[in-house]
Amino acid sequence: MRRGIAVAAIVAGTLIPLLPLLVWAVAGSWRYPEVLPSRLTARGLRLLIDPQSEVLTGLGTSVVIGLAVTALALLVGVPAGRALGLYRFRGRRLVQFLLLAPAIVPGVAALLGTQVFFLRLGLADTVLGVVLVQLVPTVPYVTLVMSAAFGTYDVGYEAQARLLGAGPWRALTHVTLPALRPALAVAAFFAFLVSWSEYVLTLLIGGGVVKTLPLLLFSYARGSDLTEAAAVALLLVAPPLVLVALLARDLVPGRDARGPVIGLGRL
Amino acid sequence: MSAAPEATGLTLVGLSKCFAGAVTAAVADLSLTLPTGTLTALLGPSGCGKSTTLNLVAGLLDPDAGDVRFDGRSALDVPPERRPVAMVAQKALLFPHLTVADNVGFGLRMRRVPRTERSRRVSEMLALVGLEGFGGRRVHQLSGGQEQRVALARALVTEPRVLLLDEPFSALDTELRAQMRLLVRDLQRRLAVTTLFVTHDLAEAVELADTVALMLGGRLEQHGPTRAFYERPATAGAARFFGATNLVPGTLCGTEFDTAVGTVTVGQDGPDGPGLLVLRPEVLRLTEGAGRHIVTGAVLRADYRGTHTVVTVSVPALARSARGDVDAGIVLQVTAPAGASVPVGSPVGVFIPPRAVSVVPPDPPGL
Repeated sequence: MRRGIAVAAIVAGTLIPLLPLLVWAVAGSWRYPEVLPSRLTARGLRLLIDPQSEVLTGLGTSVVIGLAVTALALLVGVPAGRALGLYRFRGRRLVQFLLLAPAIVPGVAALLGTQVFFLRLGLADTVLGVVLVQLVPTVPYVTLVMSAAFGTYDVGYEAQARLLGAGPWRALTHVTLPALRPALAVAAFFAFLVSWSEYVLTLLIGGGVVKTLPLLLFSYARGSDLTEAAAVALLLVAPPLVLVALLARDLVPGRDARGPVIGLGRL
Repeated sequence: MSAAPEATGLTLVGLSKCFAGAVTAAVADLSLTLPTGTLTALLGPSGCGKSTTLNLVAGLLDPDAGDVRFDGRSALDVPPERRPVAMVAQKALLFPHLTVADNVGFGLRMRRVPRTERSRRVSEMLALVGLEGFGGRRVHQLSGGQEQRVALARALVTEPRVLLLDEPFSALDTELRAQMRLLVRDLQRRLAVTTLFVTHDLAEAVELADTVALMLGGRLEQHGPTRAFYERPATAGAARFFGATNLVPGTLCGTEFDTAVGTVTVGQDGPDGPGLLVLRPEVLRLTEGAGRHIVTGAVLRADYRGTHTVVTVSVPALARSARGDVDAGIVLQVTAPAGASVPVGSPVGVFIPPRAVSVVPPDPPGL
């Protein structure tokens, strides 16, 4: 019962602020004394599916960058998390600190240097450059989540898998990754979210050439058409909400007693 | 499936393993032969290299030297997944994302056994370990004992030639452990699988094993039938580990062993020279008065142990000791009936049954 109320409060708290957006996105005109818009329009929604507008391309760019960043962050962060979570070695704390530093220090602080560096390498103004620079804030989260997961993981699982006839690759795909699935889902979710809403790094390294949804949203928000801005904002908000719904099982500890104890489980 | 008596399920030849940074080898020059279908307990205190040995057999570690052979064939270049072994460890290590049936069937799936045959063999195996109908359960719904049963089923379903058990029941409570021992003994006999059972528990080893391999400090101290460890221990270390609390120094000459408290007839003939007389407390008997095969002394203390009383007797050296160490008397522990009345300080005789005692070489210097 109390759990139900809490869940309802959280859901309401998350969704209610989005209601004005929803209304604005279809408002033809909405002036001060009116409680609801006097006139509705599909102009904002049309913008979202208009192949001529930048919105669809922006959506595509955001998705591509988000998926690439997520994949690369997992590729780097999972082994790093494994090393930090499973092994005690000299300099472990230092490595831990260095890996987490980007999550503590704002990425902007190092951005000027990064920009010069990327310009020399020809990575500035490219999608690849944006993907690489977005690894800076995402790898720490993946590492953090995965090192917590590996902290309660037992390499004995892999030994068992090997002795039961699985080669190293099948031990990884049939035992290690499935056993860590909840943590992997949380880590991937974080990485994608950070990438999805990233603005400053994308703007400076992408040089305005790589236009992701947040960049488009800013330019629409600065314009005078609030209807269009609200529509784009909805497009930006929707995918994370869908992801939360899909991953809900992994994000909260539920009926499964040995389910996830990492990520948001303790929040 | 009766194997020829000389068939060797598992042979270890001069196996050595030293971990980086360690001063002494975890396993040193270990040679061991397990006949097919037998259950051998690899016994020893913690840190003696038992588990390392198991991991070397499984292929989870590579030896620095030596060889591991299954049915006579070297397995040094064979990765763990292709060795004919299965292991049950102290933790059940059931895969958390799979059901009980999928855990048991994992090895068959890896061997690409067709689904229908797989599910038939899984249910058979679950029935064998007493978990009929548990196939659909989630792993976290099992109790500790059930987890180990599933682990055992998972290991045995692939019909390994060698089963490795690494203290599999040490996390269970006493009653459950006794049940699991019976189950292992029963399954091992029925399936005739060559089994190496690592344990630090003497009682467990004695109860389960056909033969015992005792490891101390990375070395094989003695390997043989359990009985031999009680009747003819090979070393002082083996005698001590098996509860021979009285080791009396002296010199063996033929079947006569000469000690500071008298001469004892032993059940062996030579080799002549210095040695330690092994006097198991339960072999000795308290008597009154003196006579042949009896040494006399005074009761130092008596400790009630429920089923028996351990009486400690101080036996003074004979005055005629030629070596001049007149004070070098000995202290003997004797198992007496629980109700024995042995006041501290009272004079008492200890009967040493001839030929029921043996002699081991003296401890090497430096110990």
